[in-house]
Amino acid sequence: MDEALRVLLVDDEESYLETAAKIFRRKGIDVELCSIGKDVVAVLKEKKCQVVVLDLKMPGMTGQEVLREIKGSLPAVQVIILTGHATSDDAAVCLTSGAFDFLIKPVEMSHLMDRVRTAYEMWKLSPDN
Amino acid sequence: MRQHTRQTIKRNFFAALMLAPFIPVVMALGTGGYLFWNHAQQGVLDRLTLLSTHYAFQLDRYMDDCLGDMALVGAGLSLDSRSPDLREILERLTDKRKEVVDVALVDSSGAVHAYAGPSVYKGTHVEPGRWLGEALERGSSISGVVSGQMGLPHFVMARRFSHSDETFVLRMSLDPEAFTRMLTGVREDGVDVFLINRKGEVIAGSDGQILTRERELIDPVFLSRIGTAFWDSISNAAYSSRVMRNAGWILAARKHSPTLFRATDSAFLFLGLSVLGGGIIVFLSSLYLTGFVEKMLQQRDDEREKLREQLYRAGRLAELGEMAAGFAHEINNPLQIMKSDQAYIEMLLQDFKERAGEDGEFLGDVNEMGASINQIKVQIDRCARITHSILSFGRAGNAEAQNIDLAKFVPEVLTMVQKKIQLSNISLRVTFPSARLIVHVDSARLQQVLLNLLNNAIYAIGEVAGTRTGEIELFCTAEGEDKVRISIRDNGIGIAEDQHHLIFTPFYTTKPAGSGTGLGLSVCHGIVDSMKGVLDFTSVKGQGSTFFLILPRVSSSVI
Repeated sequence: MDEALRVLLVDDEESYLETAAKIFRRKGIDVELCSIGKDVVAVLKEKKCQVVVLDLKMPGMTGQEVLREIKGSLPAVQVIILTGHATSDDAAVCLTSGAFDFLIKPVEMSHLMDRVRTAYEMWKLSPDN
Repeated sequence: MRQHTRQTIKRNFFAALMLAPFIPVVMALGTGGYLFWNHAQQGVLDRLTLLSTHYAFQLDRYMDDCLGDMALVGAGLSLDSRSPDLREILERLTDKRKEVVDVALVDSSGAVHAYAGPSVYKGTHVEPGRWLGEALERGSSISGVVSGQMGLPHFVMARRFSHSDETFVLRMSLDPEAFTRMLTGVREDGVDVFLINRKGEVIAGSDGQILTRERELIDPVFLSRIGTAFWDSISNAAYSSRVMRNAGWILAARKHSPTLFRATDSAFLFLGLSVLGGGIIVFLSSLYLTGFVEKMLQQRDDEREKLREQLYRAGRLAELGEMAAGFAHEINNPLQIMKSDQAYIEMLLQDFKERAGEDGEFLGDVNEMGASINQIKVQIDRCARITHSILSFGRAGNAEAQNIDLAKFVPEVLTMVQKKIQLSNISLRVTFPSARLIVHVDSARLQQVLLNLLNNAIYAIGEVAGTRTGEIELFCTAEGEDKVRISIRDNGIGIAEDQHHLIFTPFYTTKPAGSGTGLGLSVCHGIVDSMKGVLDFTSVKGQGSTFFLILPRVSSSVI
């Protein structure tokens, strides 16, 4: 069963979230927004997003903790890490924790959308969805 | 401060080096000198004892001889006439001894029976003297020296003999000149020999003295030590004396200290010269050793200073790297916002373009805005490049380390800059040793470092293009047993000495604004550091630079 692509953008920078949402929507991608780490799983369950674009450094719960929580309860959901705090150690940890990709800010929005679409394809192939 | 400390160390070291050999030398010389002096003194005393014993023996024998002769003469006298003629006897005696002055025959009462001598003896009795009683009692007597009736100094020898139950005494006067003759034979350097009586009066001396007084010989110091050998520090002389068997006279020998010193002078001169020579050698060797130690201290200080400088630089670089990484992280977030807004504006502009339709003026404005937005995009990308460079600068670890054979790897890297080198008209020389050089590092990072260094070399040569032919030399060599050195030498513009300490500092660049981030070398430094290697350089302004990295070598037998 093919669900329409719906992306959850998670970042504590709300101005980025708003602009990014506008761009995604203009490209016909449904977007949900969340700026608090611990709400992510609840939003995912409610809005049924297939792909999450997740920042690492956020107040409260960190991106890595959110990633582990998502992969624990919703393993099919594809997580793309988008962070300014990029170290090779972070990348290694996130990728081994099940992240689909690890992108370093600033990233071209067109490139981000390409990765989101690819992640969506991966979600489709996932046996858990 | 350090200079001051070094001076103090130098001074103390020099003093210690000079003093250390001198203390035992002075002690040895002191002890040796004391022993030598004692020995020399003892030698003099022994010699004096020998002399006094010898002369005492000679004089005793002389007197024994005289008394013996008198006994013979007395026994052979014919006393029938009771007053024999003694002239013949005197002649016989003076034949043998010229010092015999006169002879007299006396009976036990002192009456003169016969006399022979230079004067005519008129009396019937001799002057009462101790010699008569002594001769009668002991058999013989020798008197002290007196001036006598004739006013000439003489001494008397008397010998008792018996004839027909009657006792006679043969009396003989002698000139003490005999003793003087015997003593003047002393040839010993600085030694005086005296024949003295119990009062210390000189009967005869080796300098020809007769009946004189030597101040020192009548001194209680001497008189109380008769029969011994001793050194008197007051008169500064050595003495030895022997009591003679005959007459109780004393044979004394004396040697004054200047003559005593003469024997030791040459020894002390030799010792002094030895000490002086040794001192000069010690001084020169101390000077040399002190200089050597000072040089070593200087070298150690320089090394310590260099190490401190390196540590400071490394610490500062690490601090800067950490700070820059944090800074880059913080910049990336707003960059992402700008980037997304720029993308959104581009989308809107696309809409505007469509809506402008035939309105040329509006379309022109939109296009201008598009160009402006594009410039913003370019600048955001530029910022992104900087922050990404910083992040790789701050990155640690050797994620994908593998064994790399430099002989294969380096030429691959060179092909990437081959074209640029050719276009810049630079001659490139590459040297490898025959032995395999293997390193265990992340190849992408090593490539990044080498490309960075090669690009810098090309840039440095570009700065002096037209003045000389550019040359780049890359050589890989083994550094000791377990390290590898990769050097890249160029003959470009070089680095001024006052800039050397800034070279690895982040954001420091000599390139014009926009051409370089100033991060290349600091990133390389961080990378080589993470490979447990060293990146450093030597450079002379106007002549060129050599950048070299030293990496741990993997033994080729391990592969």
